[in-house]
Amino acid sequence: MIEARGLTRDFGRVRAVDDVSFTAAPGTVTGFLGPNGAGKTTTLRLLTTFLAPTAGTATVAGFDVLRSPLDVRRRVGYLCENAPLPGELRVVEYLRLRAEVKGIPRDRVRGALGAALERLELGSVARRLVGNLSRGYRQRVGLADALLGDPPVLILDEPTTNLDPDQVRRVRELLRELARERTVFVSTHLLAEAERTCGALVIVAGGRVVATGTPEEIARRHAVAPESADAAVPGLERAFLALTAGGAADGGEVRS
Amino acid sequence: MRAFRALLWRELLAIWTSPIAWVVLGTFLLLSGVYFYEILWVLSRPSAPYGTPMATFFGGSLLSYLPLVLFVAAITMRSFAEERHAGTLEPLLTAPVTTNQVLGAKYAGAYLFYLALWVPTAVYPFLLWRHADPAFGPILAGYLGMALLGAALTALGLLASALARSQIVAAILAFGFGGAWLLAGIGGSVLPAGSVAGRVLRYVSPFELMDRFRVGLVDSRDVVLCLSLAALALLLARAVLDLRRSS
Repeated sequence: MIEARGLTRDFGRVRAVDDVSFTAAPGTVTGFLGPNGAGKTTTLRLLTTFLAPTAGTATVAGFDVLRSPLDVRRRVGYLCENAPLPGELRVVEYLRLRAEVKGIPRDRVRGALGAALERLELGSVARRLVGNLSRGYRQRVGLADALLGDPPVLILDEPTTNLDPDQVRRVRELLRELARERTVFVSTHLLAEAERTCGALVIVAGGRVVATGTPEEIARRHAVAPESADAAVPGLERAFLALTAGGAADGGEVRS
Repeated sequence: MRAFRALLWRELLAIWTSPIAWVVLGTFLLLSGVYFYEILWVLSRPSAPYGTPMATFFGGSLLSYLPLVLFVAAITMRSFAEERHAGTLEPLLTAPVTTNQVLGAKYAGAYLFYLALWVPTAVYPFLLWRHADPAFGPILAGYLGMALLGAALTALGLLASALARSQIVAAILAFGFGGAWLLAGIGGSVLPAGSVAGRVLRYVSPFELMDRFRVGLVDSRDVVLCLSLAALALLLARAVLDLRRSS
């Protein structure tokens, strides 16, 4: 479970995240949807304790990000934006290193590595240097890292970036499967991605939450009536465009 | 401890697989070899000044220090600046490890490399032993002095890397920190002996410190100075990392 309460983050005079509140629970994939520069990655960095909030707080798996950052990190599998990885290590070496750093018991490391490699279909590149992999494979290594140790909360920043269509489909299925028993919180700027993967959405614009709910609820509540030219545009897309076009309205919710 | 070992292994691998490490190692050995040869050549002349080869080798001139400051800057510059630039600092600092563990592993990795630089130079006292009868006490003290000097310089380099966003800036900053220490030493030898500033600068002078070590005088004040400087730099590096998280 992730609960954000009034999360705010300033960088100098710029407010990147503004009073963001939402809840993400196990059972379905929660999408964190917004246009580029909406504050998605910053929010994820606040939730994973890489950054500290200027105001507000959040609990992840029951632990406060400010008061118990180590407890939060022990329970979160995190995929950073663009999956940055050290190029000098082989895939299996990198994952073993991460397993050691995450404190996975010695007798379970081999099993955890095998499971992660199999889930992300990385067996064929396990002995290759990370620096020599394609971006798609690197993304999958980053995902495998996030899954190591079977954490109860997964926070994934644009998990399907750089993947081919077949891999995108498989990762979507994997995320939905994982979300049955875990909290899976996925940031994306792709509406189609969010619609196909997520059972719940948090839409942000200009650093503020502008809508929350299921895709159907959001489409119903916020989609403006289609003009003749937009008749073919689906409801959620029209709602997204309406919500994000003018930025956040007062109160954090844009009303249609 | 297990996480620390894993981080240290990763750090050592990152250092030893980088071309910079091998360039530093090769250049250090080449320069120190030529320097040692020149020392032997000068000291073997009938009109040579008084001194033993290894005592001269350990800080006999500014040539002993400047390359060292440069090489340590080259080793430590990647520690945080490169990780930040490549984005790999984020997965590192969101793993269930403390900032102290990350900092400690990076420091230990860089410092072990620094110590490794000196290992091949053991051939010089070995050569002296084959052809003469050197006193090993001052030689060991000289190595201890260089190890302590390196402990402080490595920590200063790590601080520079935590402060800077790019490797080049980190290297220049680290060179600046080390250079400032050397300048303090030069100031100490120039200012009047009786003045407060002169006394303070002489106390922190790396030259005066090595002047004692290389003749076999291990003074606890020198040990405390180097370790204090290293601890202070590491504490500041830690503060910088914490500050980056919150500002």
